[in-house]
Amino acid sequence: MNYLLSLSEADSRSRAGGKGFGLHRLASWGIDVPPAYVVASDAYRTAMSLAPVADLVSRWADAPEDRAAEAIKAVHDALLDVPLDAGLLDGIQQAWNELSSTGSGECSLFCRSSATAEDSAAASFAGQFSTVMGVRTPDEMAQAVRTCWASVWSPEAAAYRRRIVEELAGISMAVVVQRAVRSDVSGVAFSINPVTGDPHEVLINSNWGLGETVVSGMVTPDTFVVDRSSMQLTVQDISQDKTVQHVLNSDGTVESVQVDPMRAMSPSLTGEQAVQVAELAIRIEELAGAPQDIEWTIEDGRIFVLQTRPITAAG
Amino acid sequence: MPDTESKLAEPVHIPVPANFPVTWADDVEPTLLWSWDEFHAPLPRTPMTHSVSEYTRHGMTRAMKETGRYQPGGRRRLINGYPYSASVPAEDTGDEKEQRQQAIDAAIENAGSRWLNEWRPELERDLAYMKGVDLAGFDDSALWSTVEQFLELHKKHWYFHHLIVMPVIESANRLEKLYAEIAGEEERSPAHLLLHGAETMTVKAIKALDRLVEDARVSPAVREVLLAGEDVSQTYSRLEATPEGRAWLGQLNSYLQDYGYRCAGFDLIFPAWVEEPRFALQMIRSQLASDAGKRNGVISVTDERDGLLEKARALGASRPDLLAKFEQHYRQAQELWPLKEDHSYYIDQASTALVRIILAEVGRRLAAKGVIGSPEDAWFLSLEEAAQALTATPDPNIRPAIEQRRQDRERFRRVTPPKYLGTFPPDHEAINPASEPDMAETARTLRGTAASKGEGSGIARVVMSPDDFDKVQKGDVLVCRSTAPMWTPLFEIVSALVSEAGGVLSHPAVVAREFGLPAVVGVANATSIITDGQPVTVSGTDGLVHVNP
Repeated sequence: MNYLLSLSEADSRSRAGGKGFGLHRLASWGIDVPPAYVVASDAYRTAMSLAPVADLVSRWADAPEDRAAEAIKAVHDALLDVPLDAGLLDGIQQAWNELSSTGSGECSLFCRSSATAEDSAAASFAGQFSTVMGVRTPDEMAQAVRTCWASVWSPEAAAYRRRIVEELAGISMAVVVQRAVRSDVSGVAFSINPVTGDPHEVLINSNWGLGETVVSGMVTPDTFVVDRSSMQLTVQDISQDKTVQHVLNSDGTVESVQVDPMRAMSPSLTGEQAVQVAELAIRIEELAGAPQDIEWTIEDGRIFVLQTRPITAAG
Repeated sequence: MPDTESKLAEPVHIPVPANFPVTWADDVEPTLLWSWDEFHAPLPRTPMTHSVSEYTRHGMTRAMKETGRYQPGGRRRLINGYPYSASVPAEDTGDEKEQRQQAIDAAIENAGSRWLNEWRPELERDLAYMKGVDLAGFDDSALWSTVEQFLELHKKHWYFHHLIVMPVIESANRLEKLYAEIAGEEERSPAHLLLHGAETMTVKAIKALDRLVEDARVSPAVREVLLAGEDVSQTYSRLEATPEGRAWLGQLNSYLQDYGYRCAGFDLIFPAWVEEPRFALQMIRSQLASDAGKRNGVISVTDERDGLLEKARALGASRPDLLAKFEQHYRQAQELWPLKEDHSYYIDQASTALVRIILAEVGRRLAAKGVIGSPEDAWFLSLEEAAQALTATPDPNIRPAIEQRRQDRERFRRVTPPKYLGTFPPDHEAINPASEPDMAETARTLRGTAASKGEGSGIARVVMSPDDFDKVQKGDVLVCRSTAPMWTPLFEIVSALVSEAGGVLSHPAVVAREFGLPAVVGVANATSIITDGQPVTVSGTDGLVHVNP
């Protein structure tokens, strides 16, 4: 079976997961996305069917309430050690070869969980599953795939999911393998204002470096508001608290570093860039047919979209 | 590279942020150091509130002059709606310092008896009069005369306010220093711990609210309606439908008469609790939903106080003179300490709420006459404009002006103002930050970014790591540095979220919106200012966190 999907092949949500399918759509619309492959969810299901893991899953299903957390953790740990199918290992090697031939310098990848239930309009699992950054060899890539799989069975993800999805076992996990972008600035943009529900405003948060600091809420980012009818910047609230950024080092590792105080207080986007990000968010909304929540990053002045999903709750 | 000291010898001009334009009135203004009073004005002030603040300032100036603390040359102004002030530090001669210390000692000596015999009776008389006035019975010009009368009383109340606060804070500071002298500097203990346990108006208000909660808990009809979780306006009418509900509402109304003369925010645009019972109902609902024994904090702090006192007495036994001085200062501080809360009950809360209530009546009349679009528009007028509109020919341009001011306020409430503007003096690093009055037990409002709409009240739980998860009970307000995805299980049980870091598009904010959980993010120092167990109200619509004492 072909476990590794190119973005053009990732046209099935159930095989590519929400994130993988979203990237497939972005690429097909001609939006700039970093080069990527998707490890299909079939590979996860194969791993789950192997004897040691399958046994632990059935033990969890029979476990009394007070042993459930322990049983979930056993499945989690078993997945971190699960043997990989020879076809999958081949695919990983090929994807590595392809991705490392793009761009310049040391190749470094991000492996992002792409759950089949994730990013649907009904329930946002944003940030619940693992992302592994700084993946620099095919072996590390294989282990990162296991880590993403195992995150389905992390105690935190399980607790969060109980409320929205009844069946823990019903979920399946694809993994997006993406060439890392050396981000100068990153952030999130919503094509409508999700707080007030105002459909006439695009709201943007940004910080220096990789986007994790904005997505997780680790720093207070800059806020930009663009009015959709005039495409004018109406609010720029420059945070003086952008004290930490995540950077991609030249050796491919990702590091959290302190930001120089003057830079921490400076706008991370120019007004022109903010309007460009807003234009992109609106274009994606029009193509997707619903208001979107996009993660974007800028490298050498070029804007890449890392993912998009429908806005789950607004107003 | 220049060393740090020589760098500090030069005044440093502070760049003006692009989103916060400043037009200086003269050449002097940009050379002063202006600071934003964020504690009292987390949002841009409405023109009406600004206008009224001239009266409170007048009261302050009078008190400062009388107690030798007035510093001429200070300036105040509104910048984009936010109050900034610049002070010119006075050169202290030895004589002046000596005189000032004598004035402070005298004030500490007299404040307790003046409060009991002079200030409090006068406040009670004034407030009873202000509450009793039948506003509907006045014609327009009589109404405005009464507004002016209220403002004069308000001015006097703020004069009292500043006569009271100084000796209270100074006596507490003096006690704190003496304690450190006896027990050793490393044992320095905040005065509020030494003085905890007084039966202040604040404690009485909390107890009265607790009684309402308990009465609701034991009455199934009332409990059920309060916990139904619907809009509070419906709660009120549903309670009116049953005899038990009506009886309980009677108690609520008498609670509001006693303790409801307080505005829900630091601007007159926010209604008083007595005007809109939803504030109290919300607080009661969240306490009812929380099954925690919330007040055990009071007991443990009292134990701590007794422990500190015992220690001082044991250590001071060998230095009888010092101990005698400590006991004397302790008695004085103990007498004055409740004033720290009580003056606020009468002045900051009730006097202000009553000024709001009469001005709200002016707004209703202006709207009924068609001068302004809605009663709330009145908050966008100055006192002079409101007087003219009510009693003379209204300015025909008043409506567009109101609209413009409303838009300006909307625009700037979304911008975090810079803490400082102007120029840092050369010795800025050396300036000792003005000793901030102890905030632990004082009501205040913090500002952040509105991240998820709605209002939620409850007991604050400061959660620094997942180790603290256990202490969070249903209905509590989660206060944290930043929330990682693994914290989201807590979102199901808390009634609101406050975080120090994070933007409105961060993961925690997204999830809060999905859960319909009111949230304010980017609240600077929230985890150090808010203490565990304090009742707080979070407005996820305005981005404000009201911390109750």
